[in-house]
Formats: sequence, structure tokens, C-alpha cells
Amino acid sequence: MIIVPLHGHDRSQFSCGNADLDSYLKAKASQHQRLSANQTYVGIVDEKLVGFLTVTVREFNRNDAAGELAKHPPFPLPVLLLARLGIDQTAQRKGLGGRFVVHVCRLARSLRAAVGCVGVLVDSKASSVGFYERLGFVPVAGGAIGLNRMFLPITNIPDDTPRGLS
Amino acid sequence: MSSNPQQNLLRQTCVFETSRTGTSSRLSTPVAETSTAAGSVRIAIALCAVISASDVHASETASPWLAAAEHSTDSPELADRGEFGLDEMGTPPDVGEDAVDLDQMVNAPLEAPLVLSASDAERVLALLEAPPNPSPALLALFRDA
Repeated sequence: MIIVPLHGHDRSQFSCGNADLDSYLKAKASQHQRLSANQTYVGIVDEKLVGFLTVTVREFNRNDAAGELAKHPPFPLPVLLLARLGIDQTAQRKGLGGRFVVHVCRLARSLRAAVGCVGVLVDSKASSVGFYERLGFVPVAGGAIGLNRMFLPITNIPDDTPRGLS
Repeated sequence: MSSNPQQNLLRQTCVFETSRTGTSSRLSTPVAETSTAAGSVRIAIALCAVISASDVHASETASPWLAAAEHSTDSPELADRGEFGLDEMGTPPDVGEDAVDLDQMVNAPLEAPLVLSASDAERVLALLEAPPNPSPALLALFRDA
């Protein structure tokens, strides 16, 4: 599978089993991307679109009402949000989700090098929490209703660039 | 010249960069690979871009993150010109791509910012300060990717 930025790909046959995700990819992803509101990447196998992910940049803020921290970190902290991830039903259970997560991790590494980034954030379905936990994501408070917010610190993302150390 | 040394530095480096390249487009290149003063200016510009992107708080009903295009609805003239229906090359929408649903964006609930409790903030910072410890599963994914 190759992962490339969304650009004129045929999405008409894509179906991941989640109507909201399907609709987003088909109707809005390129519109949002054109506005630079986020970026969608698609996975291609044999010229067929088999999955997609959408990322955007957010900020961690500290709850000021919670009192002073022992240290005084430079909040807000930039974090890369894996906002949407969908795999076509014909390509599910083949490990493609993991390939997409690796792509997001590399994006976070690049972002860190460019402007700073403390990690990857995802709002996970309950059924996917175990998957993300195995990859090193830890739960943090918040998240959309019915979803579990999870965070992977940038320090635990392997650096596989040629000069990487881990 | 401002009495603030930092403002003076910024102004001087901007002038330097503009005169060196002859255009302002050079300033919009992603991030400098040097640690020169001019590089610092470019980094600051890139940071501004990130902050601007992250300040958008519109959302959608199904997933509250990504209706950041709400700001576009402030410019109905764009929609009137049909620009939302054109792709990057100015051609008609791709197969399966509908015109953008402006009403849905306008009516989408506003998203709360990402706020960490004190305990979560402490935990996040502790993770960032700890030695790297990637999970075996993630390492395996990187090896196989």
C-alpha cells in the first residue's frame, strides 16, 4: 500500500462500514483540504483506494482552574490529531490500520522537527482502545461523547529517519 | 527603530531576508534548516500558521473535529462562484464528491478546546520528560511498514 495526499482520487466505491466516515471522505475531505483546514491521506493498493486518514493540528491547554503545576510548562502544547481513519470493508483485518498509524507517527515526527509537536492524539472507539494501548497510547480525560481520548507522546514514537537513534 | 531589541531583530532579519531573495515568497517556505536569524523568522511564520489552524473550533455532529471550514461560510461569495465545487485544477468535482453542505457547517456545534486537567497535564509532561520507551507493537509496525 502506498499512502499519498488526497488529490482527485475516485472515492465513489469506498465503504468502511461507517456512514459518517464514508460521507466525509466522499463529500467533504477535499473541500476541507482545499481550505487548508486539515489534510487527508489515502491508501492505494492496485490503484484502488482502500483507506484514508485525516489529520489536523490542535493544542493541549491546561485547566487553569486546576491550580498551578509543580512545574510551569509552556502551555498550550501543539499536538497532531488523528481525526479520522477508515479502511474499506474489502481491505479490513489486513493490518492497514497499523500502516496508517505509522504514517501519522511520521507526520508527528516531521511536525516536531519543523515547529514542535508533543505527540499524537486520537479519539478512539471503545472497540479500538486496546489497539491503541498496545501501540503506547495512554488515556487522557476528555474526548467526544462516546469516544476515548488517547495520547501517544512524541518521545515514544520511533525515529526511523536515517539519522534516527531509536 | 523600536526600543524593543526583539522587535528590532525581527524587523532587521525580515528586511535582510526580503532583500536577499528579492521576493516575499521565500518567507513562506516551510521551515529553515539553519539556525540563522533569518531562519528564526521563517520558523516563527510557520508557527503562526500552525496556531492559526489550531484556533479553528468549528465541528460536525458526527465527529467534532473537522468542520473547520466553518470560516469559509463567512464568505458566501466563494460558494456563489462555485469554487467549493471545483477541485484544485478548476475542474468539476470528482465522482462521489457533492457540493459542500454549508448549512450543516453553519449549524454544527462548537467544539470545546483540548483542556487537560492538572493531573493529566502532569502525566503528559512526565511522559515527555521520560526516556524514550516505544511499545514493542509500535516498533514492529515501523519495521513492517
